[in-house]
Amino acid sequence: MNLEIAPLVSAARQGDREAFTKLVELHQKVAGSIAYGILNDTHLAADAVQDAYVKAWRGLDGLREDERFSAWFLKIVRTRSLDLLRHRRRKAPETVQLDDALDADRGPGPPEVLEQKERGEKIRKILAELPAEYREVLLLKHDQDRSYRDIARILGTTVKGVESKLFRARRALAEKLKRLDGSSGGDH
Amino acid sequence: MNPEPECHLIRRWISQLEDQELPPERVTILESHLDHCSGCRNWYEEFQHGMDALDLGVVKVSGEIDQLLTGTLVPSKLSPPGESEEITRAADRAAPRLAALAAGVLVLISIVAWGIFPGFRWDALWRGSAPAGNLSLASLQDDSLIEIDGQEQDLSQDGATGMVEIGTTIRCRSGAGEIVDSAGRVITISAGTYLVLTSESSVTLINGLARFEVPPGKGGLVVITEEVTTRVLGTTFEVERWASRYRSEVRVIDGSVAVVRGERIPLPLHTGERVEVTRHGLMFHALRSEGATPLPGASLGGAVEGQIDGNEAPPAIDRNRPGEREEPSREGNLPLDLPVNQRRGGDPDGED
Repeated sequence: MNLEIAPLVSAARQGDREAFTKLVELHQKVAGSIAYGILNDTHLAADAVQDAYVKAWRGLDGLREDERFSAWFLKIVRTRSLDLLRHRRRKAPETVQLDDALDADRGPGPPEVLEQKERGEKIRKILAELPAEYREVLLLKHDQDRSYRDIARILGTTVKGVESKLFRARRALAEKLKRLDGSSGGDH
Repeated sequence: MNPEPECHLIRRWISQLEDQELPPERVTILESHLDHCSGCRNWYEEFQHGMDALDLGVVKVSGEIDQLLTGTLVPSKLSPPGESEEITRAADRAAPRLAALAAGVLVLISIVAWGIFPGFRWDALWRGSAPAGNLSLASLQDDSLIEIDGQEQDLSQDGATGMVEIGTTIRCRSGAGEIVDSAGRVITISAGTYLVLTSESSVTLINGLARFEVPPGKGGLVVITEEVTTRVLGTTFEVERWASRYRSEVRVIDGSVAVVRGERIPLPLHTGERVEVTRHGLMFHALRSEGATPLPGASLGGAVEGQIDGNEAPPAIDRNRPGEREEPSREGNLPLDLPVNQRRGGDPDGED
């Protein structure tokens, strides 16, 4: 990957905006996974990636080694996501109410579509309940299909650490899913 | 029922096997263990079941983020490195308010000009400098009466079309109309809708109901009312505003939008969800129904009796609004659903 990244970084540093955008697009998915892992909100995650995009563009001169772009950019994404998370905690809209009761009023749809949608929503809820570090590693693995080595590089940890965190995250998820399926009488 | 220590290790290996990171010699040991350990076999099944479900959830999340980001990483938006980030951010934050302010000024000028020179066409003053990009305006009903910059359009025939430019004010006096731009974004308006096409990517809704259909990958759209700004990328949604009440409502029919009120963090809104926004706060309503939501068009209702703040009353609610099942066909041009004030016991806001 570095082979295609280095020339783009070099061009971007010369002021080539298209090259920079291409560079960020190459990292868009992994950046989205990291941001969502921290923020647990797709819109905020997209905002974090966009902010990181602008910040990285402005700070490109500070990047000493072109081949380090990925780690550098993803670090900006993480930092920005954490900033947004803190901001959200401070300024959460106080009048927002989740009208859960209305969930029960869902109308019927094609059974298989409905089942898949419900399943997707269920997993999403479980993901939301997991610690951010679990969500992050699960998304990097299951969305990006990254190797342990890659994930370790992105998260700044060891291969062993990734393996261990992934195992604990999956175990937690499987247990929550089992409990949920059990409580709803098993819907699959 | 705690598993043997060996089982702990085996289960960890199962996770590695899933990722194809388990060395081959351990695969053999794992398989041999599974042959005689029913506890680990069950655990493996549950694990796989969880992983399948996880993939489904992850794809959903990832798809949403991708959709939100598609087309937003725009090179031309990157300002020269010399410009401070704070300035750029401040400009970004101020943009919706400036657009709303500009729309307000335009409306004010138009009202004053009309008062002094009846029949005055203020578009003549600035239309030449309006951004390029005409939009087509089509009537959806025989009795449609639509004004562009205060000038009544000859759209008396159902399906009649005209052209409008960016910067124009559009007011639907009766019937229903449809505005389509070159990117395929569709705005459906009905009796009482009063809006300004503020720019190629933003619309200011002053009063009434408008439905927006934004195809994915077409650059998104920003819909502004005094109370709330709605940012979208590839979705179908409605915004309704009661000008006299300083109240807006955003309803998502398909996809998702980000709703921003003042300086607050955007509130994500997904299919079937809606949010009511006033000067005092916002009220979020979760999913009510997942019924099919066919496109609008002939589904928009006719005019509703009553006045709001000198403007037309809000139009009848589209029968396809989220949370409601589609009604059986009705005769003539009767409204296809109850207007807000009838549905809510005689008050459009349900506040009185």
